[in-house]
Parts: sequence; C-alpha cells; structure tokens
Amino acid sequence: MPLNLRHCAPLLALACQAGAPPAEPPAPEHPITVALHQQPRTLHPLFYETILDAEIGENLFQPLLQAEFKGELVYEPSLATGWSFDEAGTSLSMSLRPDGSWSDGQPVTAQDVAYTYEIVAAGVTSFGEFLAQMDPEQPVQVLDDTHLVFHFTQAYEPNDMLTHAGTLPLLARHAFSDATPEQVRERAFTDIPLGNGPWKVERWERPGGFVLVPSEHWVPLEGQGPQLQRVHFQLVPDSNARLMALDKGEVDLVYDLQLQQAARLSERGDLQLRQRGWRSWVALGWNQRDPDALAEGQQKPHALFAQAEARRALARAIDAQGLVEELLTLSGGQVFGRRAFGTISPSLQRYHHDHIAPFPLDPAAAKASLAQLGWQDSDGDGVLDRDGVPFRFTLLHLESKDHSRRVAERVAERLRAIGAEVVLTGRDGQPYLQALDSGDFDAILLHWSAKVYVDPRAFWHSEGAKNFVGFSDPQIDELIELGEAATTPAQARPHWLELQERIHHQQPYTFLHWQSEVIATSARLTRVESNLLSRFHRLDRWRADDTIP
Amino acid sequence: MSPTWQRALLRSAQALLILWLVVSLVFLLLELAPGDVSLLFLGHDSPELSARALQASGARLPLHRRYLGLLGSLASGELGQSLVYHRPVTALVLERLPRTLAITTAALVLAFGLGTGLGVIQAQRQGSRLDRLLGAASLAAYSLPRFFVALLLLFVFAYRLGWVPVVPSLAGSRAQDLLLPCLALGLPSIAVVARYTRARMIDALQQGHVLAARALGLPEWQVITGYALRSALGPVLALLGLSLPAVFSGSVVVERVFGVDGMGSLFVGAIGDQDTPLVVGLFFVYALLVVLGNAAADLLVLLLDPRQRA
Repeated sequence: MPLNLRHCAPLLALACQAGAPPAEPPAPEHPITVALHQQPRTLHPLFYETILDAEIGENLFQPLLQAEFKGELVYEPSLATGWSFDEAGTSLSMSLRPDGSWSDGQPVTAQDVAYTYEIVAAGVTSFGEFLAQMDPEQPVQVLDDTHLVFHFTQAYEPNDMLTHAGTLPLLARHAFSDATPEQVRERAFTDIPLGNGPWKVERWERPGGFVLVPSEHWVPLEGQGPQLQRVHFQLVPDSNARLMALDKGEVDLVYDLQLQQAARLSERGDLQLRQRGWRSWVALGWNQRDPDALAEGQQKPHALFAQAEARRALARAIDAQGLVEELLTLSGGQVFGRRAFGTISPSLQRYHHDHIAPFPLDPAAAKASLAQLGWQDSDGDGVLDRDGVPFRFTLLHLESKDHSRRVAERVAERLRAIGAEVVLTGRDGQPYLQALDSGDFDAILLHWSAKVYVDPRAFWHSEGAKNFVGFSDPQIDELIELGEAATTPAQARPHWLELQERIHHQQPYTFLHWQSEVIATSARLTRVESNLLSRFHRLDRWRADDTIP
Repeated sequence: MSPTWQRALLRSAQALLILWLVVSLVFLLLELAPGDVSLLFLGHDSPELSARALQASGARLPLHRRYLGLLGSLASGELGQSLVYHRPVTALVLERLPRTLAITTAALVLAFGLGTGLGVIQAQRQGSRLDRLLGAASLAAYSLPRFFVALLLLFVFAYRLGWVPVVPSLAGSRAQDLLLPCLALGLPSIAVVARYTRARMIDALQQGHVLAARALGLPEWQVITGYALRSALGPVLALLGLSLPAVFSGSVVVERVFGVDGMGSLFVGAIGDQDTPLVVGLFFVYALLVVLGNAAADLLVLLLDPRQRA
C-alpha cells in the first residue's frame, strides 16, 4: 500500500514531539462515536436486562468498589476508600469517601447504599442473588453518612463477600423519595438515570442513540477525570453499515466483528484491532436424557449419549483444532480462538487448567470405541445402529449466527464420516432458548459467555440451574461443594483444577473453542480498556487524539 | 342515505373487519409459534420478580381470556405494555412512527411522481430505444431485493461518494439522513408505477376523446396531461393503496440497513424477542396505516375521476 500524508501524519506528529517530555494529548474536540448493534433497554445497570445495558451503564455509576480484571477479579477503592472484616469474618465494614456526589450535586451517603439494598430486597432488580449470603434481617447497617457495615450469614470467601457488598450500582435515595420499588424499576426503563459516576447522559434520543458527557460533580479518586468531551452511542444495526462508517471515520469503535470483517480491517494501518479476552466458549452439548421422554415428564437415558465412552468417542471424531485454524485464524496468522476444555476462562489464570490433554483426532479409534459399545453398521446403510436403533440425532444450532452454522456443518461432516447420521436444525431467539431450557434436543451447539469468576455450580452440579444436558456426577458435585467452601483462592484452586479434568474425562459437552471478540477502533482512540468485564470499561480513562486523522 | 355515505359506511365496516382479521391471525400465529413467552421473565435473577412480571403480563391466562383482553384493549385505544421494553407499546410506536412515515411517504411521492412521468414518456415513445431501455431498467429495479438496493445505495452514495453520511445524525431526522432510505424504498415502486402507467397511457392514447383532442389540433402536452393522463391516472392512483403493504414491509429492511430506528427496526426485534403485545400492536398499526392509506387513495380517485362519483 503506498504511503500518503494520511498514513504519515502519526509519524510526523511523533517527530515533532521528539525530545519533548511525553504529554497528554489535548482534550479532543470531536466526539467519540461508538456504533451500537442495538439500543440498550435501560441505562441503569441495577436493572440491566442485556449485557449492553450493564456495560454502558457502569460508566454512569460509581460502586463502592471498582472491579478490575488482572488475571482474576480484583477490587480497588472507589466510593469506599477502606474496608475491613470482623474477627468472625461475617461482617464487612466500609468507609465511604465524603466527596462522592450524584450528578445533580447531592452527596452520596451510606443511606443511598442501604436504600439500594432495600430495593434489591424488594425483588425488582437483576441482583437478587447478591442478598443470598447476607443476613436477611439486616444486610446493611448504616453507622453514619460515610460508614456502614454489611452483615453476612457466615464467613465466605472474602472476594465473594466484597463482590456482594461492593459492586452494586447505587440508587439515589433522594430521587425516589415517594416511589414504590415497582415504580423505581419502571423509571429505570423510561427515565435518564441519575448517576454518581464519571459520566452523565446529556441526551437520549429514543430512538437513535444517546450522548454521554463528563459529570461536573465527579471527583476522581486519583488521576484525571474523563478527557473525552463527549461520547456518542449511535445505533447502527447493520454490520456492513457499521464497517463502512468506521472506514469513513464516522464512528470510532465497532465491536463484535466477524472474522471476515476483521481480516479486511487487519490490513489497515489507521485502524486498530483489539481482542477482549477469552469470554465466549463454543461447545457441543450432548443431552443425556431422552428428550421425548422428558417432554412427557419422564426420565429416560438418551440412547446415544448417556454413556461417557460414547461421548468420548464422538470427541475423538471432531477436529476441534482444525475449527480454530479454519474459522478463527486470519490469513496473516492472527488467531482469535483457542481450544477449550471447560467453562473456566483461560483469562482466569489462577484457576484455568492449562495442561489438559485433548483427545487426539482419530476417527478410526472413535469408530472402534462405538463398536465396543455395540454401535455397528449391521444393515449396511452407512449409519451405525444398535438393537435396531440407528445412531441418528439432531444437532440444534443458532441459525442466524454464521459461525454457529459453519461449526455445525463441519462437525456434522466429521461425525457422518464415522457413521453417525446428523440432522442439522437451526433456530434462533426464544425458540432456541426454550429448546435449551427444556432439554428438547439431542445435541446442541452452544455459544456461551463465561463469567469472570469461577462459578461451576450452574452448569455442572446435578441440580445446577443451567445443567441443560442433564449431567450428573456425584464426584463433580462434591468438588463443587469443596471449592465453594474454600475460604482462600489457594484452597479453592486444586478443586477447580480437578473439576476441569473430571469434566473433560466425562465429556458432558465436547468443548470446541474459546472465542475472543474482535473490536476495531480508529487510531485516534487510545487507552481503550475493552476487556472481559466490559467493552466500554472505564471510559473515563480512554483518550482520543484529534491530531491523528 | 346517499350512495357516497353508503359507500363510506361499507368501507368502514370492511376496514374494521380487516383490522380484526389481522389482529386475530397475528395473535393466533404467535400462539402457535414455538417458544415460551415466560422465558422472557427468566432473565431476572429474582424468582419473585420473574413470577410477578409473568403474572402482571397476563401471559399465563387462558387463551380466550388473553384474546378477548387484547380486543378489549385495542377497542379502547390501548396497545398494551411491551414485555421487553417495559414501556407502553403506544409510546414506543409514537416515538418511531414519524421516521417510518417520513421515509414511506417520501418514497411513495417519489415512486408516483417519477414513476408516472417515466410511464408517460415510455407510452409516448412506445417501441423506441428509450422505451426499451426504461422498460429494462424498471424490470431490473423491480427485481432487485430491497436490502440489496439499500446496501448498494449506501455503498455508492455514502461510502464511495460521501454525499451523505453512512450513519444518521443523532440530532434527529435530517433530510439528508432520509434521502437514501427513501430512494431504496421508492426505487422498486417507481418501476411498478412506471410499467403500470405506461400500459394505461397506451390504452388512453387510443381512446376517442384523446384522438378527438389531437384532431382539434391541441398541443401535444395538453393532449397528454389534460386528456390521456387524466384518464389513465385513476387506475394508477388505485395502485397507491395496493403498494402500501409492500412499502411498509420494505421499510423493515431499509430501516435496518440505514440505521433508521423506526417501526421496522422495532418490529424485527419484537419478533425475535416474542414480545407479543409489541408484535400485535405493530401489526395493528401497520394494518391501520394500510387501511387509511387505501381510503386516502380511494378518495383521491374520487376527486380526480368524475366517473367514479357517478
């Protein structure tokens, strides 16, 4: 690509600054524009319903503790400047900074915190589970305007207690003086929220988008406040239009890029491609219950997938590494995926098991294993069968998701090669979720967003809320209990490592890969902190340099 | 009662019947579709909240009670509460209606203005190279899917030429933001109107009063506009009512491509979310617009064609 002035501008700017001490670029005059794929439903993250609601809303609110991701979730002082546990480990005291302020100028006090927990206790927010470990009689005790105590039912792992006490977005009590909890919830979906964070909403064009500007009442704990003068969040539903807008410089950030789009952008010097980290996994879930029997309220093992050995055989027939290389690797070698073996993200370095040996790709061995289980092509029709039952199943996938469709096709092709008859069924939205939730499938291709902390109960416990495949293993249940009872990360670690080994061995799901979301930004946008926690994490620390075209 | 009033009453009854049919069919289809609306409420971490929201939504009432409730609400002018947005459907529709109406109205004006003009030119030069060229262009414009036309226009005029921005302004609807959506929506309709006008004009040009006007030595433009076109315009305007459903359904795609957050975008999201009140409400509003549009088209025909008033 020939060099032109546009490409040389950053170099020229750099050359002009040579010898001078590094300095902050001047505050940009032009607003930053983020292209949204959909409108948020609410900007109050206490009532979030989509990830987008929470990711944008967090910039409008300052919780007691600031969550950061540094290989694991850590908490830093924010509205609370100090905290301590009592000797029994059941109470957590916090001191609030006296200069915390709502964007209308009113001070943030301990009463606001207590009021927030009252609203949570009323069951109208998305954070009901945060009270599960707290004393139901008096979860929050206000000592004075800047001091309060959280009471728990017992001593838990300290980080867990900090999560439940310190990370809720707060409600301004004075703004809801006469409102019932239901009315507070309703207003979260209709009104511009009153926040206490570094940003406030200047205007919300519904429909269309909204504009954030720095809150004049926000005092940063350290460093500077927001340097961007204005951030536009603009709805651009079509992915092609988002890309064109980025290319034309009309928007500065586009997220959730498809790999083909990333490939095109990777050749551009004036755009930056960023990865968010290992947040999403893709796996094949093998239903261990017969879906027809389940629909009639009965429990019957699935004829094909109830035996772990059969699931392991299928894992040997699928080329998971090939999928990463074919579907998640750019021609230039940039990789946006890696093999997965469980639900604990590789970004959680302390707990992720790095040394699980994948089942080697060996279709012959897979076929032999199935033969040992009695699955053979007895009638010569090319499909394995046992006692007159053919090895035939439907694989449910997300129809509108290109990646899901492509993975499903390749998996089906591999499995057909060993004598399985795979029928692909695509669904979307609620019908897909309903099938998942009710167990109305044989096998399902699942795209899931992992948590930023270890929480294996939902997926792997026999009674887990998201145990979609009806998996049950007493040994794994016990490991979960042991891990959850641990009071330090070091105590929990061996249980979580063993859990991952056991799940890999049992293969309730055949994990295929982790995917890193690709985010493209204009070169003028710097210090972007899109990470596992949020695409728009700490907008107050982002910078833009108008000298870069 | 005068025939005009009788006709008006008959059309009103027909309109009510159509609205009832649309609402009933949509309600039934949503009931038959796979998926469970109660899943919408499972996003809440609080089971109490989920149960309360589910109860408040009425989603667990028997089918006939929900259906009668829906008809009752519509009769009283209420479109219900969106399950996803937690806001009244009326408010959501009213926020978006102006944008949708702006692009659809402009597209129809464009389609009928330009389409009629092109049709007249083609009829005048029937069989000429220009006629064949315009005929082929019309066919091409009609055959291309609207989403493709939309993307093509965006690519050429916004991305390559930079005449308009790719992303609409946040400061509200600007004329330039609506230009390409109107064009994308209007182009296939221009083709239809042009082809229809051409056929009607060819017929009209052979009619006795037009031939007589020519024989009297009136200027050609007067023969065309004052006699032939006036005679052909009635059937062409009747096409206005018929094109409304196509234009509204086209707006769903066009709005998405151009980022116009109108009723179409809302509609797509509502179907994906199985937001029954919103889907039914939007269908009702679309049907109402089509019915009103048809009535307006009929009125126009009556005004322009004295034979229809007889």
